[in-house]
Amino acid sequence: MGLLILLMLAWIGRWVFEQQFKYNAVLLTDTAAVPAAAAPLQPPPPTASPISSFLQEDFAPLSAPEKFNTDTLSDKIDGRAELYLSADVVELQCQRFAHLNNPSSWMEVSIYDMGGARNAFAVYGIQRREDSQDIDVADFAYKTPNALFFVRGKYYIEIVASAVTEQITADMETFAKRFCDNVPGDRKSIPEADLFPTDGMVPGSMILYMKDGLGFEKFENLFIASYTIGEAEATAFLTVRKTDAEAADLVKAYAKALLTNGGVEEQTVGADEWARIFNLFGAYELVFAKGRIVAGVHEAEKDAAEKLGSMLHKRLSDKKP
Amino acid sequence: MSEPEKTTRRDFLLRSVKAAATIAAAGYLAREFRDKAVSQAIPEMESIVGLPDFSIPAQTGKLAIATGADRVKTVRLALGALGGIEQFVKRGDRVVLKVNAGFATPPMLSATTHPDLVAEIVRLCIATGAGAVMVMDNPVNDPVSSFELTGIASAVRAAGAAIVLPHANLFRPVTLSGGTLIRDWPMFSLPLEGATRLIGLSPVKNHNRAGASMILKNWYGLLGGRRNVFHQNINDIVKELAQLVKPTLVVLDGTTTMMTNGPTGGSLTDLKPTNTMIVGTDPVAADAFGATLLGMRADDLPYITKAAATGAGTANYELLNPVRVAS
Repeated sequence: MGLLILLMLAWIGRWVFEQQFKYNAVLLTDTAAVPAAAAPLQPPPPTASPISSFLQEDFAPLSAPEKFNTDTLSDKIDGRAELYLSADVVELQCQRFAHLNNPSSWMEVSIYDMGGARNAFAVYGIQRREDSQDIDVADFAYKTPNALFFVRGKYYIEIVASAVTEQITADMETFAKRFCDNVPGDRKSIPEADLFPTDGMVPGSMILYMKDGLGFEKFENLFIASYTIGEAEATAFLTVRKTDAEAADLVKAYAKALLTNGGVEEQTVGADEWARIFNLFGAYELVFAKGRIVAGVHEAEKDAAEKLGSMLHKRLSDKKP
Repeated sequence: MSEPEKTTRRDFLLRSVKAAATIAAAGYLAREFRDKAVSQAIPEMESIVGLPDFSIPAQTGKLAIATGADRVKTVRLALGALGGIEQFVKRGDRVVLKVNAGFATPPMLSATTHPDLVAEIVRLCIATGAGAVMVMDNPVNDPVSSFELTGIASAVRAAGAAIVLPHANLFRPVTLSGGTLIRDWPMFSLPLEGATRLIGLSPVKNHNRAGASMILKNWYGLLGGRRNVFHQNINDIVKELAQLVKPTLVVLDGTTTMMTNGPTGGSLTDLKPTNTMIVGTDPVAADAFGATLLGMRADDLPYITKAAATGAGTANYELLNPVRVAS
C-alpha cells in the first residue's frame, strides 16, 4: 500500500512538473508586443507629456509618451539598439505629435538619455548623415530634408517628420531651440572637439568611437575627423590618455599592431622628431604622442599624412590641453 | 523477534481509505498550486512541427528583375516575366501577404513595405479570383500605429483585403525539425495554417545587426515572444526562418534602398534610389541579388550563406537565369 501511495504521488509530481514547464504564451511571449487574447491592439490614447512642453502650441500629441530602457530598447528601434547599448544608453523617451491643422503632418521626437555628453556625442557622430546641414540650435546639430538631430548635455535627440515642408522644418528647429533653452549643456563637455585643426576639416565629420577605434582594440575614446588636404582625403584621430607615459605606450602598441599587420615603417619628411609613419599596403598611417594625447593620421597618401599630421601636431602644441 | 501482526479486513479497508484520501488530497493540492490564472488567460495551443509548405513545385527557381522608378509598373513587369500572378495564385486561394510593417514610420522613410506595392499585389490577387487576401505582420512597434502610419492599413482596406493583427490567440508554439533556436517558440502561425498561398513583400534595407533586412529577415515578423533574445544569434535565427517558411512567391522592393542607419532609418538621406524590383520563388536568391543593391555580395551576409547551405535556396542567383526587364 505504501509503495502504491509513493507511486501515485510520484505520478502527480511528474504531472505538475510537466504542466508547469509546458509552453505557455503568457509566460513566454512579450505581453507588450502580444497582448492577451481578444484584447484590442489599440495603443494607449495620446496624452501630454514633458516632451510636449517644447513644442509649438499648434501641435497635439498623436501618441502616448513611451519609455524604453536597456532591456526594451529593441522593442522600439530593433537592430539599432545595439549601437546605443554599446554607448551605455540609459533610457529612451519618445512621442509623436501631429499638426492641429494638418494631421498628416506629424513628427516623432526621440530623446535618448545617454548618461553623459560623451556617450551622446558618440551615437550622434556615428549616425551623422551625409548631405546634411549644420544648424546652430546646439553645439552639435544638423538637419536633413525631413529630420533634425542634435546633442544637448547628456541627451541625443532625433526629430523625424512625416513630410518635407519648410513649415515642419521650422517647427522642428523651434522644438530644438526650446529644448536647449531649458536643458543645460555645451561643447566644453567634449574638449577633444576643439583639438582638431579647423582648416580642411569636412564639416560634421567628427566621430567618437568609445571602443575599438580604427579597428584597434586599445583605441578607446578615439575621436576622428575627415579632411580634404589638397586633392587628397585623410582622417585625423586623437585620444586623451591619463598620463604621458600611457600615451607613449599606446603609440608603441599601435605601431606594433601596424607592423604585425603588414605595415612597413618609413622615414617622414620633417616629422621624424615627433612622429612615426607606416606604409600599410599603400596607405599611410602616422602616429605620435603629444603629452597625454595620442594623435595621428589614418589611411592617407604620404604627403597628406605628413601635412595633416603637422597641422595636428601644431594645433596640439598651440592648444596645450 | 516478534511475530508480525496480522492485518484484519477492517484494518485493510481503513488503510485503503486513508491512502485514497492522501492521494486525493495530494492531487487536489497540486491542482490548486498550479497557476490557473496563466492557463486561463490564453487557451493552450498545441505545439506543431513546421509550417505549411506554400511553394509550388512547378514554379521553383523562378526569378525576375525589373528596373524602373515606378514600383507598381515594375512589379507588374516582373510578374509578367514569370507568366503573371495567375501562375502563383488560383481562383479560391486564401492568400496571406507577409509584409514588413515593423515600425510606425511614414512610407517615405522606406523602413516598411511600401503601401503602393501592397495594394497592387492585393489587387492582382483579387483580380485572379483569390477567395481571401490577408495582410499580416507582428510589428516591432505597436501594431495598430505601425499599420496605420506606414499607410499599409489604408492601402489594404482600399484594395479590398483584410489586415490580421497579431492577437495572442493567433500564436502557436512551433518547432523547426532539426532546429536549435525555433523550438516550441510562439509564432504568428494561425493565419498561415488557414491559408493556401504565402507571399512575402519586403523593402531592401541596411540592418545594424544583421547587415541587411530583406525577404529572409522579414520572416522575423512571424516570431512572437521575447524575440529580441535572437539578436545575439541573428544569422542562425534567419537561417532557421529560411528553413521554416516556404513561400509561394517573394517580392523584394529595391525601388528605394535604405543604405545606412537601418533598420529604422529616419532621414531621407539614408535612402538611395536603386529602381529595382525583384520577384521570384527563391527567397535566398532574391536576397542575394538584393545584397548587390546595398553594395554588398551575398557572402557578405552570413545568413544568406547559411540559408543556402540548408537547401532553402541558392545564393548564386545567376544560376536561376533571372529574367531581366525594364520599364
